[in-house]
Amino acid sequence: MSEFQDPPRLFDLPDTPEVLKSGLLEASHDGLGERAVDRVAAGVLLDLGAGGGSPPATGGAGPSSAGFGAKVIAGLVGVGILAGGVWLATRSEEPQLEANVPSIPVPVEVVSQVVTAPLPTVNTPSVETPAVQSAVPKPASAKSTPAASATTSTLAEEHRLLRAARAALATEPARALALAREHERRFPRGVLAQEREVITIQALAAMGEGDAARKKAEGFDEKYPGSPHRNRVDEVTDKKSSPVP
Amino acid sequence: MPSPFESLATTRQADGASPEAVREVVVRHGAFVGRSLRYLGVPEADLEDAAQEVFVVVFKRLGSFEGRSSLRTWLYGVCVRVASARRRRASVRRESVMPEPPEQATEPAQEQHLAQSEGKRRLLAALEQLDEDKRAVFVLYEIERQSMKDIAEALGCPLQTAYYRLHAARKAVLEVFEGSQTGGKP
Repeated sequence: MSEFQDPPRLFDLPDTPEVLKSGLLEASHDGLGERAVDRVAAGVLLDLGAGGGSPPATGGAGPSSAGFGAKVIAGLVGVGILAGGVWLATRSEEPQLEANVPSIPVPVEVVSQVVTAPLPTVNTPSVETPAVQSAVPKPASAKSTPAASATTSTLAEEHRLLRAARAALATEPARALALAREHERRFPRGVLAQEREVITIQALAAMGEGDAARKKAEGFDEKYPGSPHRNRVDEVTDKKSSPVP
Repeated sequence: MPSPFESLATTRQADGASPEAVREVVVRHGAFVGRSLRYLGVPEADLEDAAQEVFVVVFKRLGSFEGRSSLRTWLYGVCVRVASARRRRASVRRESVMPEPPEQATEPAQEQHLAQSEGKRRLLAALEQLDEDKRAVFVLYEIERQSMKDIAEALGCPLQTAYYRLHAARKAVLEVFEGSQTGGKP
């Protein structure tokens, strides 16, 4: 126990200006939206799978080597995952969470454009992201389901395509465009659709197709208002295309 | 000599997690991480990138979590460090590239929303007046409603120092709000 006692919070004090209280209240519900979280999740997978953690070429992925890290993941995920389900209280769960997260069975939001089935249990390393895929043996205890495999395969394939597209942007924009279109054909509503659109616009602009890039950019603004990529899109089209009349 | 967790973190942690588990962790904590980063001063345009950075750090350093603090506290610590680095980078970028931060496009529907968010805008302006240390304590205590003990742990400072920072931060924030209420500049 601490010898100090935490003071009442400003929000709970009668003398706090109302406008500050309303700001604090709004702030406490002002997290990332579901789509943004989806994109972050996809990006994290991409980063980890793209060699960010320098995964070893052999072994090391079984339960024993994952060791405490795997336990921590299980803790972070919490028991709520076992129930699967839908995260219904996006805007209200966070501030009320207590410090010890794993003990709280908050339902988990698992809805995305590629995840349509209830999630399986935590340890389902059926398919890794490309850089890790071949190096990760499937533990005997893995409870992979067809839906889970499809989900991870889809994500991995989305990552693979767009990573290649991004890599080609600087030197081979036509190839980048072709890869982005391939992504669109195969994953029209994929988790990384927004990133694909950005790459498409960048590729078009790099190829001197200013009008097409601008048209695509306008569509992007309509489809993804408030996108964090908006500045990037605007920057590209402002630079490469003719001025907007 | 690297600690055991450091050795684990760079070799075995990232591939010790299945994609499903990674995704679940991000989905579970993404809203909170994004909110913390926003009020810790990460520019809106960098928010998703910064959140991604937080989780990548978390997965790479899973071994550093020894269970002495809560997972949430540990996550706060990562958020604070990432936000601090991002703020510095954004500041350098502004100074070297742009005379002022990019103006955010405002659509008609957003204008109404902004009108309803006076408190939030003033709060963000008030937070901008604080130094990083005080800002972190204020955000974690007043917005995230964490205990001071957890906050001190997350920030790696003595509890008494955390109290001092909270007191100073509150005073500064209240001055901004009280000043703006009486016609002063927010």
